[in-house]
Amino acid sequence: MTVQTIDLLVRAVAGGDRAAFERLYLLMERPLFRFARLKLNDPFRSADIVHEVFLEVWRRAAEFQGKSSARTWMFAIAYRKIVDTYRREGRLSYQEELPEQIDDSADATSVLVAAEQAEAVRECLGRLRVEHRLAIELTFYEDMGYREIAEIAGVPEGTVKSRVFHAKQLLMRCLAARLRIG
Amino acid sequence: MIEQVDTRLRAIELLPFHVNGSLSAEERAGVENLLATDEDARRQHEQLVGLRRVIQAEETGPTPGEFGLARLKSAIDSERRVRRWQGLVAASVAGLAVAGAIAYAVLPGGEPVYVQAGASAGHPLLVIAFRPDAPQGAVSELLVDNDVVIVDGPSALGLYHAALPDARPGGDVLQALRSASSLVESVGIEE
Repeated sequence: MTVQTIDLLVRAVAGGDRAAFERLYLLMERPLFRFARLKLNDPFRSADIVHEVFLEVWRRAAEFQGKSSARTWMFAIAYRKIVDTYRREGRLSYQEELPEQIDDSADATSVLVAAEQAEAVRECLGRLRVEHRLAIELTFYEDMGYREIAEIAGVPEGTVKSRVFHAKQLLMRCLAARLRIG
Repeated sequence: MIEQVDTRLRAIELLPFHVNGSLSAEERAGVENLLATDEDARRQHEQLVGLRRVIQAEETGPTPGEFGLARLKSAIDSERRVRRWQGLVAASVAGLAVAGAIAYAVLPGGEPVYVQAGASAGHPLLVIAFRPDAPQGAVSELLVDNDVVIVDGPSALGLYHAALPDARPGGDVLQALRSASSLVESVGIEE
């Protein structure tokens, strides 16, 4: 899958090309579903998000200006819908209640032992604020650059770098705390 | 000194993007310079590599797949049907408004402005289906030319009921409408 292919498909969809729409779905359905699923932890609501994203693409493909890549544009639509879902459910105020007494000096090996436990990572990710979580998952799940993430989240590039940095610090503290408790 | 600290902090912030391979060549070189000399940066880099590995390995279960695509196609088709129906309704409403205005213009003074469907009780009515692409102006002109006033419709099937003019034989009006085949899909008389 190339970014250029997705751009071309979205342009074809703008002209009402249903075959292009189906191909776009086959290319982008999985990454968008994964993106939503990790945040919402609910396969049905995640499927609804994917459905809504593709409907919006079908309706608004003609408005796509090409200022960013079509892939970024689609992730940005998904991002807004996920944040809206969080807002409706009052989850945006969720605090990062991480133990303050844990210092940053936990050695990398110990933290990685904890990090190998996917459950621990999942739980610690779940304790992050949504904007931190989205930033770190786009970085490590989708392997996106900070410029692309900034476009998706609609924030300056420096904010993305700062969010990922802080999210990583908080995750490491959380994992280190689990290690000590465990 | 301050400049060195800034450079280090900038490189530290880029570590996650070094790990995922999304940095430019220049940015990558800056981070690699730091990694070559800074033990703490190497430790953080190692943590990030582990974190990425765990996140990448996360399973999200089955995706909506073909079912999701079928659901989308169905939603798109429904939207199209609704839009087409809305367009027809809008055209019909506009047509009725034109017909009402015409009725007002042609009826002699003192007669009721609106001709209700019920007012034609006992009289035969025309049942007309216009072509979906028939221009509204041409339809109005056809109706005025033949003294036909729409009194009801469209039905769920898109049919209009129209009152036959008193001054002309019904057969003549029927024939005139049928001959306008570019506008009228079907026309008949309902007793």
